Amino acid sequence: MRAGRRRADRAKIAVLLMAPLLFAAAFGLSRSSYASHPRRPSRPLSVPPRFERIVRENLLQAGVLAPQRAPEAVQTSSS
Amino acid sequence: MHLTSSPIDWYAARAGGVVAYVLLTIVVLLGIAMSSGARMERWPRFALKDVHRFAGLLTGTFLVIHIATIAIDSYLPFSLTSLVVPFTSSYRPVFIGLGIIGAELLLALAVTNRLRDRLPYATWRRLHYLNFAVWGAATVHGLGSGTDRGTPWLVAIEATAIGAVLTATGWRVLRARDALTPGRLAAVTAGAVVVAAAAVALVLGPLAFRPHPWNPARFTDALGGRIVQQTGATRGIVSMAGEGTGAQHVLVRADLLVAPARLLDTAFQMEYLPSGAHCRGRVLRITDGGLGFLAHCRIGAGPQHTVRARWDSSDGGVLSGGTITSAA
Repeated sequence: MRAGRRRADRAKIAVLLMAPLLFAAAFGLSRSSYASHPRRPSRPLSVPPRFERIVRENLLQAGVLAPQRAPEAVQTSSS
Repeated sequence: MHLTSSPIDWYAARAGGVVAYVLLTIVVLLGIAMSSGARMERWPRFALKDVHRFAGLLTGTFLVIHIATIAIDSYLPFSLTSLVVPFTSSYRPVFIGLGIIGAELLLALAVTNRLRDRLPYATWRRLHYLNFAVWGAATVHGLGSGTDRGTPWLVAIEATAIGAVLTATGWRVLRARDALTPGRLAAVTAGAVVVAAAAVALVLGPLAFRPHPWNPARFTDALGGRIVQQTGATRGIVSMAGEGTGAQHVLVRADLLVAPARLLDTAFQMEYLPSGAHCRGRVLRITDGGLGFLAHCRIGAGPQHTVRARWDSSDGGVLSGGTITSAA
């Protein structure tokens, strides 16, 4: 009985040691099989700064300080 | 729940799944050995039971690591719902669904183990046989999903697990029927080897992992998009921006610097995802009555790519029904 318990304890220690070792090995193998890559969340591409500068300067030359915007909708207390 | 995009998390998710599967296989093999009633001088039943239970707990621990690391990875396409409700995942829904069913069944069986003293033994034992279903679901989950599924090391682990569990099950059934002979055991082992070989053929054939090529010159994707205009006094920018999805995920943008009745300059940008590589160049011409364009671009000093984009329709600046084709 005591010998059986001792064997069980040894087996549990072996399993406990094997699991992190296997984890480390699988971690390394995963990395070598398919390494990760630079990950970036997708962001919309923007207008080339040179184009934006040309349009801004064009507006300034025409005397417009800011791009034209539609007037905000009028709101009344009853709307 | 998406907390990180670290590659370490991705490797941990994959490794956690592998360890959980190996431990589950050990638990099943120990369970078969215990249920056979075979007398082993050096391994009394209580000792096997102790190791069986301990390995089961460790399986649960690594399963939690597997699921938690997937849940917090912002790059992987899993919401909390798609990790809990089977067959709702956008990525390989059947195989992921089987993994979820296996994990949830394992949790339910862990609860029945805790309540074992309150359940009739026959009921508990019948429920405990569902562990075979858990192992089967985990096996199919591993064969059909995951980045490493076609790698030699994981194929070897799965083939060994399948061969071992099927041979042990055959041995157990023959023993229970008092029909265990060396010839029959050899036949059962041969059958298990054939099934394991079939699984290997499946994972290297129809279920093989074929990763998208990295920043390919050639691809065709579906394309959504919009037209945006920015106007100055006598200069303006007309932009067509879209997102290609399908074979290769890309963001595209064509910008035209215009003067009244004149095209002054053009710019074209295409970003490959997830690499973030930028292909930059110029728009050669507008096509399809203003609903498409042809462009050239290069990634750094690399070879030139010819990109053709077109949309079927535009409604209030929203472009739909498009395709993007890139060629070397």
